[in-house]
Amino acid sequence: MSPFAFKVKIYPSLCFYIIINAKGMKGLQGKTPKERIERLLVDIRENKTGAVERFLKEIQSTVLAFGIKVCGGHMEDAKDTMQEVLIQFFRGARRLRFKDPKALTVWLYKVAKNACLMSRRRGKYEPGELLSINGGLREGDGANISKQMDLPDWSGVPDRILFEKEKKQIVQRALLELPLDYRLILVLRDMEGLSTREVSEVMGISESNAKVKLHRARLYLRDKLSKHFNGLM
Amino acid sequence: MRREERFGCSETLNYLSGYLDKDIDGSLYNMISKHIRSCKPCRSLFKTLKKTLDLCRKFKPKVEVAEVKEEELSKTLKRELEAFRRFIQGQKKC
Repeated sequence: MSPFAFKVKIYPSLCFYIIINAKGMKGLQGKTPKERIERLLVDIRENKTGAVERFLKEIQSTVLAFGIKVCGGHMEDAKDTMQEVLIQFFRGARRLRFKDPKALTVWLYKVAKNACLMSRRRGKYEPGELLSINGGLREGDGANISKQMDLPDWSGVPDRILFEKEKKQIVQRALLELPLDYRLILVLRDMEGLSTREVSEVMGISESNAKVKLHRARLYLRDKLSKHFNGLM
Repeated sequence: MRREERFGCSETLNYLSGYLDKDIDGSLYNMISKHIRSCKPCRSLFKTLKKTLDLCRKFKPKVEVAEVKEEELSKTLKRELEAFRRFIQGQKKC
């Protein structure tokens, strides 16, 4: 008998758990956080084995990361906020009865957004350096592009350089400099993978307003990153 | 003057997000494509904005891998999780 077969014989339930979970997580690679949540909600609705455990793990990391992206701050604060979000989510999920995983996912982000805003009001997360919309977002709006004939193109800098540890901090810092509602819209759309319509639902604004704010937030972030990445070419 | 003739940098800038999301009508999309091909600053803006979105999509804060263990969950959350599990079990039986 091979050593592996021996171990399988000793820990059959553990092996079963690992196989089921590995199988369940396999199709989630490369998907956005929102797509992963939706997919796991469908798995729960279809009564797949281990789906609740996989969902719990996924929802923890998604909500935790969302809190850090939106508010920065300390891990412990983010964990507290995450627990509040999960409590509300599990209560609501029973009430909503999985009729629509997409709607449930949008609702999860709405709860997470509100929890982040409440935490900021209670002074949990360290506040980022907030800029006024008019002052901050005009800086990178590119209104004089035609006059900037030497607009540097750093898009060719390899990902391995852009994704070095300190460069990731540049992205996080630039993100935290955006006004909160602009940051929320950008995180929801470009990091979490919600559609513009879903973003407008979470934010409680019109879709056209969400598009305008998203556009300004993207330009502003590009401008901030350019200041750091121009020198890498 | 036709729309195409007065189409320049500022119009490209206004619709660049919609262009990247493919969320604009076909004729506008074609005009932006044409302008980007002929205008170097707009091409740079387009490519760096696209790269910015790539960075956003791939951005994962360090905490994303951190997992909160079940014993770290608050009593209320454990209770809600159990109620949720019972609810799922109830659904299975139905």
